[in-house]
Amino acid sequence: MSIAPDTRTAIRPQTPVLAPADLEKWLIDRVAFHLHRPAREIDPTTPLADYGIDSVAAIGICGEIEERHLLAVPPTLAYDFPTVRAIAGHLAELLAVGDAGAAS
Amino acid sequence: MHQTLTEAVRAGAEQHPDRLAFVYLHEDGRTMRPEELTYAELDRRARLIATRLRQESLGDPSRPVLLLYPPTLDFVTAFLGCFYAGRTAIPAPLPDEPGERLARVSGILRDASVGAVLTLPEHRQGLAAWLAASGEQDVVCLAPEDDGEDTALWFPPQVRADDIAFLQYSSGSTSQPKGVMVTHANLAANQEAIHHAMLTTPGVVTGSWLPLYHDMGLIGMTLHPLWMGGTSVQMSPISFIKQPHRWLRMIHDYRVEGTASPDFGYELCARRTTDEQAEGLDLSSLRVALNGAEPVRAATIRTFTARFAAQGLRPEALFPCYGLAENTLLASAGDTTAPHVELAVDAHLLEQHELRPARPDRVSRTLVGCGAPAGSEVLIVDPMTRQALADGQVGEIWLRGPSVARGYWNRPEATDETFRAETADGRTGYLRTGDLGGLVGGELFVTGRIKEMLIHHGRNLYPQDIEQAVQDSGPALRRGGGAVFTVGDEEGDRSHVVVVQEVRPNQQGEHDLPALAASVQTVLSRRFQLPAASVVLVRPGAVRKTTSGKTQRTLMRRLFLDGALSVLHQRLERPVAELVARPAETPEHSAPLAAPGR
Repeated sequence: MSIAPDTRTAIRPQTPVLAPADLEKWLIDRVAFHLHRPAREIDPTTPLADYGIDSVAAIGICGEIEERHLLAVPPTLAYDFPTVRAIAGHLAELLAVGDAGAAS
Repeated sequence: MHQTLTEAVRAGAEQHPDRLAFVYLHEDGRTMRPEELTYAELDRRARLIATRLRQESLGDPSRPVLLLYPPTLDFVTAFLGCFYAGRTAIPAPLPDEPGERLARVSGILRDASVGAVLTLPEHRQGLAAWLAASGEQDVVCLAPEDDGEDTALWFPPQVRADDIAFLQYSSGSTSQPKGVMVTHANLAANQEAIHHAMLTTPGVVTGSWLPLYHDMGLIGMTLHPLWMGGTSVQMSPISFIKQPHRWLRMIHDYRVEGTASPDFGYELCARRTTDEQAEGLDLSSLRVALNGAEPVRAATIRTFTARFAAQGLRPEALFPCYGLAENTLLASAGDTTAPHVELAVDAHLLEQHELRPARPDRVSRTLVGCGAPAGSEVLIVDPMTRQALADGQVGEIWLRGPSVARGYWNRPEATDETFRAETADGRTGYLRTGDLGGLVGGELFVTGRIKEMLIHHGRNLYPQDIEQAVQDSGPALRRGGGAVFTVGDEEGDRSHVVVVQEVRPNQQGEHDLPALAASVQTVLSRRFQLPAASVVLVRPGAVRKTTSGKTQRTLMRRLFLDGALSVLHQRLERPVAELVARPAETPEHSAPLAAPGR
């Protein structure tokens, strides 16, 4: 078939897993980007709904988590875990389980 | 030229059976896994589905078939299967969650008097239960299993050019869905219009992330390549929004020549794609990138074109267009070989329905041209007097031609009103689009929606302009968090402007909300000469948007009138306050809770 893909998305070396505090910082930075705000305005305990998050931003954040941490998260993540801190806590758990699984 | 889509696919299966008709890219870790379908296989599966439809369908074969599929190639084969069986198809998203989507599909089910539902085997049981619960026991739910047989039993359908090929339910309100009746002749005419506007060649490759079941994704990105014997590459909107560079990667990998997106997609892709992700991509194959379905912003075109110039993106590839489901899809489109047209107009004269060049001493607004009429006649008409207007005047966009659909399913009155319009001087057979715009030297400029436009003392005011002015007036007023609309009783001679605006949370304490509302009123009065507008302040997130980020002004208007908004503070004109529903009062005629004492 003449139009079969000639390249595929390269798998980059896996980025190191972040400590929970760094995870929260990383997430604040990404949330701020998607909400078009400076990072200092994002409080980790304020519900993202208060910042007027829409579905495009919510799904975009999921995409960044998948890309950076190799975690598949549902598009409803920002609704299931409504604050930055809650999301970061959930991600830390998922990453810990992944590590334990890899170690055993 | 083919007469029907069935003929086009049959010809493709005969002439190039091994060519890919479809590629669907599924997320698979960090890569995208392609699912492929050749013309021979598409033809075989469509025959199989058509045969099953003919064998197992009960009752009246003129009743439409509702397609409820996840966004995959199975949707495409089922859609073609309906064509192969001569049945009217209704593409719709699978209601995978309770709520809005299920309500929407239930509305379609009732409105269209559906005869059968087609789906995948894994969804059959759930949908059958839903049909039973909806009281639609006579609707059969089919999930054809592919056993590789039965296809020899297929025979071509007898269809006439004006038979209804499919119903396109537009993204209108949930309670009042309207199905646009697209005939085989409409589809053929619009495919030819797209072909001439995009200069597509046989075997064209298109690539898109748009929903498969909706106009631009369906007619432009799914059916058009089939019409041309080409290949359609697709992925889901979620795959794109998660990682927008996947769209560019698709263009690179498959040498995509044509794509399409609303304005926000180009903006999102330019903003979120990192240099690392863009590195090594070659976008030079892309001849046409349609930008339509929402207002086209000049800034987006410039940003996207500049962002990916180093990847070989042609500056003239971005291609503004205008279309709507009632005209099958495309109504006007730009020139594939020339840059888009921008027109800076005098903002004050625009309010007076005139498109006149901007002057340095006056406020201006930059409009992007949506190209020249493509296969349809475009007439600009005064929506009140129905007088045809001259070049440079703004009015409602009316269309006439072979792409104009037959009407709304089962709605003769709405059909007459929208599809059978007549000008004051007796010209008949026009489609009223409800969109406002003007022609300048043969170029169509779309300026807004008629239903959303505010007419105040004979001036056209555009809600997006007022919303922006309000948000520019103070940091507490959240950008993009406003909705402006008018209210008034049906036959009332006065309409009243209402501004709903989100207030950002304040770290230092509560805002002085009454003062904030007063300041908004001052802006409206000074900038737009709108004294005594009503102002409603709400929390962030209260102003509803579509998934593509469009403000849902009509929905906000209804929520306001229903008293369903959670209000922080409001200043309402007295006649406006009287229109708002009071929350939950006991009606006087309600039945007593207990029987009256003897």
